[in-house]
Amino acid sequence: MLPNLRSYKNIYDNNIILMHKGELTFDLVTSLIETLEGRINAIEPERKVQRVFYSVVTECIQNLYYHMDEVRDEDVISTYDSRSGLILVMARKRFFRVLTGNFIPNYRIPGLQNSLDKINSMDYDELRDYYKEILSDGKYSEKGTAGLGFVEIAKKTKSQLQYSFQQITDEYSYFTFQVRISRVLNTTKTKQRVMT
Amino acid sequence: MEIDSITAMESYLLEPTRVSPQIRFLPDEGLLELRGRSSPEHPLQLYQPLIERLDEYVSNGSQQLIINFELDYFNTSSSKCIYELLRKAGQMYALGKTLTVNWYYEEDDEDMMEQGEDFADLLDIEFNFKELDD
Repeated sequence: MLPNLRSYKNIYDNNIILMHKGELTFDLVTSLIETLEGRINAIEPERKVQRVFYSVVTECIQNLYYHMDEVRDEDVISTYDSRSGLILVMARKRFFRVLTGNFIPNYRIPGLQNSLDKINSMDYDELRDYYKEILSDGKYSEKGTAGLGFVEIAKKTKSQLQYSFQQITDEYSYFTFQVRISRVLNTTKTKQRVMT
Repeated sequence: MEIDSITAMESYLLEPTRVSPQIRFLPDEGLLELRGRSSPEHPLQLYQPLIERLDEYVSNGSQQLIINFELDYFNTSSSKCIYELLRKAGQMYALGKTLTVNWYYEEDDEDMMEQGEDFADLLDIEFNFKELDD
């Protein structure tokens, strides 16, 4: 079959600036972030937007990396897929979109969903207070992470965290996380509701 | 007589990497500097040795400490370590010593300035905010 010219064109129209599906090592995570930084600095002139972008992709990709090892059921999901993370970064005229996908054990869903909904219900000042609350609680996860990633992403993008869980088996679901980074400068610290 | 352990403390110097900042802790000069970026895989492993040295410095009866924070970026797991670091430094106040925290940020980087404000507020430490010109 001939390559479909239309879908080829779509890739360009949608301006995919990075797409990765597969295993993630920390070195690869660092390289992906460096690659994204280089590309963004080339296409986005606004320093403030560059900074928000860098911070958000770092949190998104590192977060993905830290949660890669939670799926072990190799009989149900293929080894390749179960340890595989998805990262998609697109540039549109008015915003960047960052999407990540990974398998998670079903028992983690309620906690994660609560946390994301709680963050989505907060305005900027509430997020800032919540960040400070977690910062000073003296707790670290087993992996030494702070549990601040999603709060930071919401605070930096000033927009809603979009997510979905798709159940795959009795034990696992696919978690998709998506966020937008506005390329239009907004000096007020109000969080905008983004509908998609 | 106790041995003067202040002068016995060695400098602690780390070169920057792709994911960690340059760290210079010079007890002789009462100076701690962090410069660059911080997003290491294991932030505790990076910061714990520094926090321990700072602890030793503070409990040694050192008279003053100047901290220069010149980080362009740090991720959220680093921020928790930086909080611990500053909390330790903040004990200088309780001991009646002098603590100076200079918080540098890139021109127009309000987020970085706000981060500093949040640390200062949480720990009740006075920060000097210094905007860097490009």
